[in-house]
Amino acid sequence: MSSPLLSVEGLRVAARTRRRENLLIEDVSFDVREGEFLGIVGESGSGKSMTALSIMGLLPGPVVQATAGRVLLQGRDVLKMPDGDLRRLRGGAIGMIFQDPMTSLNPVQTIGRQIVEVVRLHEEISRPAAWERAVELLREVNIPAPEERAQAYPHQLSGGMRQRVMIAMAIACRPRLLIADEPTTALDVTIQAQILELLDRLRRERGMAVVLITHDLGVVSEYADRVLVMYSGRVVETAPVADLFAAPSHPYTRGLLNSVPPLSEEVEELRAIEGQPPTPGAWPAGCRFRPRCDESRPACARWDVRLVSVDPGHSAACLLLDDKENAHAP
Amino acid sequence: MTEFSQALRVDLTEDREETRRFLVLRRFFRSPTFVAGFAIVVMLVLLGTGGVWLSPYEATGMDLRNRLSPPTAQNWFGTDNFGRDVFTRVAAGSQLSMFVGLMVVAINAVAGAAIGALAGYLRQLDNLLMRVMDAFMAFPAMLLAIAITAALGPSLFNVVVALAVAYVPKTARIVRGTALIVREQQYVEAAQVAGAGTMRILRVHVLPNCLSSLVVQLTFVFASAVLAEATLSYLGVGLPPPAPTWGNGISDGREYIVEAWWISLFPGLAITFAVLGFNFLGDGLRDVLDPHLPGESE
Amino acid sequence: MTSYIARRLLAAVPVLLLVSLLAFLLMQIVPGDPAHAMAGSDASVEEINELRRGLGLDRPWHLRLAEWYLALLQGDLGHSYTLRADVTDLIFERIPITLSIAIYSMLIAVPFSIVLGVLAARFRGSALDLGIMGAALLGVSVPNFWIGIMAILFFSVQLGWLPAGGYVPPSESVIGWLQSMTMPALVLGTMQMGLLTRITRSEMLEMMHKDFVRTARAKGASELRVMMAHALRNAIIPIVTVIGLLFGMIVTGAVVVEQVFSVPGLGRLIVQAILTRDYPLIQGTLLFVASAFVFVNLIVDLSYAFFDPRIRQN
Repeated sequence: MSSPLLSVEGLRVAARTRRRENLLIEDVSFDVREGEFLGIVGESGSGKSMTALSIMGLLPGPVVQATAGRVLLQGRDVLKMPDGDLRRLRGGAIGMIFQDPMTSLNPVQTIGRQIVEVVRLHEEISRPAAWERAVELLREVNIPAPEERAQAYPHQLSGGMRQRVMIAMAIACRPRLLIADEPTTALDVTIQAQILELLDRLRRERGMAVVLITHDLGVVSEYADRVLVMYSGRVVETAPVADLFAAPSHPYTRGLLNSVPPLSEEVEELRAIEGQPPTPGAWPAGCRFRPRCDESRPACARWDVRLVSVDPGHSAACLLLDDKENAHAP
Repeated sequence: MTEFSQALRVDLTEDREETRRFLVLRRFFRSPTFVAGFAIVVMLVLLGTGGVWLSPYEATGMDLRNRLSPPTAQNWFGTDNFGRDVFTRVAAGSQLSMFVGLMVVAINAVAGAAIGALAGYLRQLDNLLMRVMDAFMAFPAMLLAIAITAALGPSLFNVVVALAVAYVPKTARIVRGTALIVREQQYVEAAQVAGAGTMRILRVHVLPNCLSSLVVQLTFVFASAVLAEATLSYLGVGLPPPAPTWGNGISDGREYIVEAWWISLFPGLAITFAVLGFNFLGDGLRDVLDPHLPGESE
Repeated sequence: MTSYIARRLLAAVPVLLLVSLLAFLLMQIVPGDPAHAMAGSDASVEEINELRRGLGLDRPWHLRLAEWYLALLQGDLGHSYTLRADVTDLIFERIPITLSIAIYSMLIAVPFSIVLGVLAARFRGSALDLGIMGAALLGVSVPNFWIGIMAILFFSVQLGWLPAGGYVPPSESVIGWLQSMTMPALVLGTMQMGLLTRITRSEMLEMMHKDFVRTARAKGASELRVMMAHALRNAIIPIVTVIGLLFGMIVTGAVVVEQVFSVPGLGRLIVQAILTRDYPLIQGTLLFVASAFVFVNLIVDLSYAFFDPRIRQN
């Protein structure tokens, strides 16, 4: 097997204030292969957005910084890259779209100009040629009458249209990886499906990998090849999407699945996980899900749990899976 | 709602208020700008009281044998063209400036809050009151003050009146802005439904909510009033000589600038110091009371 | 867009009416007899009576109010008794001088304070930020007449670089004109710089937290580009508002600065009018300034449309 496109190894991100250091994510590792569709699932505060920003080198420094680990993109560590290389990467090899397309576009520039900007930042190309390209991209993301729409300002477009513009901007320079940070949360349900279809189509046509960050397991089940479940700054389970839904191994994943209405089967019982996720910095000792876990035992509070392989390509971090091998002294 | 539960609710909120007030006070003293401003204001008060008391001279006491003396051990800031001690005059000027500032702030607090809260809460008054305020605000504040003192004649009372008229419209506008937001709140609607009178709603709900923006604004009014009072004096429409205002001091020294720079220098430093102090205070108060930029001071 | 302009123009009408009423009322609040106060203590009874007739004080106030508005409609702001000239003529004679100082000072203050404000925001919390913000606060705190006197002491008396005061018309000598205007413009600019630097910094800080700035970074834009093309470009809207508000500060500043440097502009005319108790001149100049202020605010409102497409298309 060829080496992965993106490889995150032991990533740790912390927010530093004068007095203390708050961990936001800890020991996060995963790979993304060329053309793969990876879903990262978690509640707010689970560290999924911080993971995405780390890949872009966009952590809101100097307060929030990656303090350990590596983020290898095509073999080069993003965390150690000089600024110039990092800028070539952003919008070049990696594109990113964000949660709220209303506020993510510059309100005083036409959308055409905003796409032209990203093209001209990465390629030696004349302004008219870049404009042509912008119109082409708008057409590719299914924006009707792209020639005229390129002249429009963001406030003249609907939310779905704006997210399409964001996508056009993100794919303008043929990135190998597209990171989508909750791209549909702010949109209507019908528009959500259209945007996700669009992302999936672009992935297939362009052969780029997509990392979709979401709190919606339903969305993941439909589009992702593989899923990464995060809780309290850690990866608790990772598996191919079919395996995860067939045999969820971590109690948290099971809880999440129970709270999602299944698309095909009859609904027997729909149950939300009780309690609230702990806030970063107030994590309990041992397994961080323990206070909300139905199956917890006294040992869960004492042992730090690491990912253990359940099946090929499927691992989870729970003491119940194997007390002897999984238990490490904290 | 029964009388009892209402009383209980008021009690609870007051209790919370008290703890909150204490916490806010501690937060103030964590803001370096607030502490700097507070220290400067304390020094000014000390200068105004202690300085005058310590000094062996009278602020208006002339000594024609000792004219235009440079700073010495006897006359720390030198003497002016009438042989008056500049230090004593600066200290006495501090009293006058603080007095004018306090009076202007007091009038602003009452009139500005009343007009602003009425306009913001009662829609039928809003248009009328605010158009009148707009008209006043069409004149640059200082110029309006100059015009009023010019018409009324120069005196302490008229200076206070002129500056109050000049700054009330802005204060009213700020209070109105907050009142407009407050009147849309659910607890105000609830109070209306419960049959509370307009005056009660204004007193219990609207005004307390306008307090933090009002306090910040009043601090800046104080700074502006000190600066404006000095300017009026300098232009000859403030407190008439021989009142030891800082502006008069600078004006006196204007003619002697080449041979006796100290006459103008020290009152000017005092004004800058005082205005800087109140601006610091206002900045600090705003950072704590209205944290619209997260982590501004962190 | 046209309706936007029309609405703004209409909103200015009642304000202007009230402003002129306030200017009219100014003479009514003079305690005692304005004619007496104007003429001075050594004036004869005939002189005072003549002045009273000239001012119209012998007629009831409502007639005078009607006459005042009627004259205003014809652009007549009254007659100055001390200078024996029409107020309108006096104002237009002085306005170019004040205007050139004002523009000169803004040409210095606006670019400087935007650069300083952006730098302070970019390096927020650093020693540079602290220094710039300290200087800016000092700028809004220091009395400009005192700064003017100290500048004369330093630049004219000690160094002999610039004239201590007076005014050289550009028709006489362009260099002399520039020299005579430099110190007044600098002094007039200090307070503007302080205010504008503070506003620029806080607006920039606010913009730097916006999502579209993060998008710009995600596009691979350099920090300079992110700051200038995205953050500052959006911050410019509130900054322009403040530049409009500076007008009041500039007029007030001009009154003081022209007095300090003996420049015969509009500000000096106002002070002269006040010191000689020339009430028609006070009324006329104040009304002129207030109307100009209303007009400037109108232009500021219209300029939003230029900077902000969201307003332009509404």
